[in-house]
Amino acid sequence: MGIFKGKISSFELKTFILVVALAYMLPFMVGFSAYILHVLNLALIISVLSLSWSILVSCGQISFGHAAFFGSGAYVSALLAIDYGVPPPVSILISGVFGALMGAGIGGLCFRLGKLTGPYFALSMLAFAEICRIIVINLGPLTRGPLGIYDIPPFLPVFKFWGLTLDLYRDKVPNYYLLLAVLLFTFLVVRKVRNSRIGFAFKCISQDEDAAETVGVDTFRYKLIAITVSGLFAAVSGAFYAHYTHYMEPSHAYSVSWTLLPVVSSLFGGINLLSGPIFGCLIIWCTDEFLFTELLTRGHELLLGALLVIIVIYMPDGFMIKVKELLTSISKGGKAEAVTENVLPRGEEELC
Amino acid sequence: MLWESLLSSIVYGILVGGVYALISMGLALIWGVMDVINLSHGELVLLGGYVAYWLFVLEDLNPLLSLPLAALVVGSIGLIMEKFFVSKIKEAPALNTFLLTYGIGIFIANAILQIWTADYRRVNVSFFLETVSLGPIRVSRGDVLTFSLSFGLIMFTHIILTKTYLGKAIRALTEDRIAAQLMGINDKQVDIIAFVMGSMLAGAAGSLFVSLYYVYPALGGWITAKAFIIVVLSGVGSMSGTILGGVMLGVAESIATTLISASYRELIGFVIFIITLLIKPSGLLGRSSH
Repeated sequence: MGIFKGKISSFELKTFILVVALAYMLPFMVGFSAYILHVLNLALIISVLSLSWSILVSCGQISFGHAAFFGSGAYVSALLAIDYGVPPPVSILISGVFGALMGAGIGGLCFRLGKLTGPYFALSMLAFAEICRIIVINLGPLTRGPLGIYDIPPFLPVFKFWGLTLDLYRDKVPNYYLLLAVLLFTFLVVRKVRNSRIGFAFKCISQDEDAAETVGVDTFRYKLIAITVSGLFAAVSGAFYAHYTHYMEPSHAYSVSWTLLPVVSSLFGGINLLSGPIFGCLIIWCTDEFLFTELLTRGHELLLGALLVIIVIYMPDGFMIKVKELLTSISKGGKAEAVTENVLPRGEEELC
Repeated sequence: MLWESLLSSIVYGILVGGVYALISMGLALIWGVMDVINLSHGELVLLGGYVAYWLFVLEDLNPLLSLPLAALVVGSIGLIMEKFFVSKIKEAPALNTFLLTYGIGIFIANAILQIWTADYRRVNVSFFLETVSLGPIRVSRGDVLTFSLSFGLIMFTHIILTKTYLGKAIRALTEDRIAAQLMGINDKQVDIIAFVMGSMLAGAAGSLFVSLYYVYPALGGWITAKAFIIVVLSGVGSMSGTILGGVMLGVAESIATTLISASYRELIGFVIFIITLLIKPSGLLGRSSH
């Protein structure tokens, strides 16, 4: 398969196949419990968002405003589907294109006009998310203002024939498989990008931007690519979220959660690993849903904030790197070779 | 008519700018000395505001009198932050402390939500709401009082920074950390003092803020963004430049609000933020950030 081309060891392939097989069997293992599957479905959607955030980090740029792409993707797709009758699969694709254009626009402004780096870029993303929220609230006729949009059509059809209804939406299992496929596709695209020449340039920029510029890497071009791809997937994830939950309002669409969750889960999983953001997000989202929300009904982000502090201080390399060391040591007879250092974007990509 | 409203919006902008300057002073101090951009600064300001609010509701204490108490409470929070968290990752890349303070900010904002709920809170002192006329311009007493208090506090900090040994040490560390260490300045100790001073300024600013505006837990990010942009405007490291930066932002906001629309007031703040960053990331006054 073309997409698998590139350096890949048989060990990584085995792990990959094992994990995907496990993921496909998960609905059976949880006994088709609608509640658990619902939480998992949301976790899969947010994993796409985390992956998109990690693309930008792999290029050395931290964003505190991915809610801008997520919320706009959700709004574009929902409004197209309701007001213009575009079928949801098409509107989700259009919202992805919109997210990419938005990313390119913001990237052009920030990286070309402003030459913003580090904290300046991170905070201007935060400002962009706020600007989007205020615009959506104030554009009442187009976006229905602060009341939000109800009855967003689902992306899976409902069949009705001879008095029977086959509702693919209300059944959580088809959604689960579809979203798993979307996540897998995103993962393979991100892997392809990060293992290519472009990914190599990203790594170069994240380690030392000035040095990269000196040796002839067109840093603006690669940063633009990173934010465009990142915006695309973040918007798609927002669109899936809107169609899956049926309801969207401005302060939820541009909530600080959509910025905080990718940050916490990518760092928890480890941003030097390709699969780190996914596993980090699955674990963080489920912990948040099953434990944190039970403990604190209001403001459960408190525990996410505390978790972020603990991760940054005690395990800046993430949690998955430990798992990987363990797996490698098992398969190689007790010899772990991974070295960890406390540098944030280390830029070493592996499959699993 | 237009000129009168423009003039009064300029005066109002200057008065608000004083409080903005005080808010950003703490951020500028910590940023300059430790090279740490404290993203939880807005939440610290909020915390000071809520402390003043509580003292007002429970003890009927005027926010101007509870200012030292708010500063003390927030200062001790700052001490905990520096001692147990920020100093632990001093050696790590700058973005790590950035993420760390972001997490702390989220934590404080949600702790505020737990304690004081999401309701809009404000200290309403009737004395503050009365207006004073200066010819065609009418301003409220609260605005004038908070402006003069912030100005006094900024001057006080300025005197500490320029006239005392501690101030000299702080400025030396801002200019060149390694050279200051070689001259025998205990940089760890000065870091702690600077962080606590910055937090105390945030707490003091909070108790003034709550007597002018409504506060709610999610306001922290907005305050941090304002403080950040003022520091960028006045140039990192030039702490007295924050007065000019604060007044500039206050006036720009209030003129834009008068001319365009009040419902876009928040938007104007963020647009000014983006434009400033795009055009002049290295500061209009003072030295550049790098």
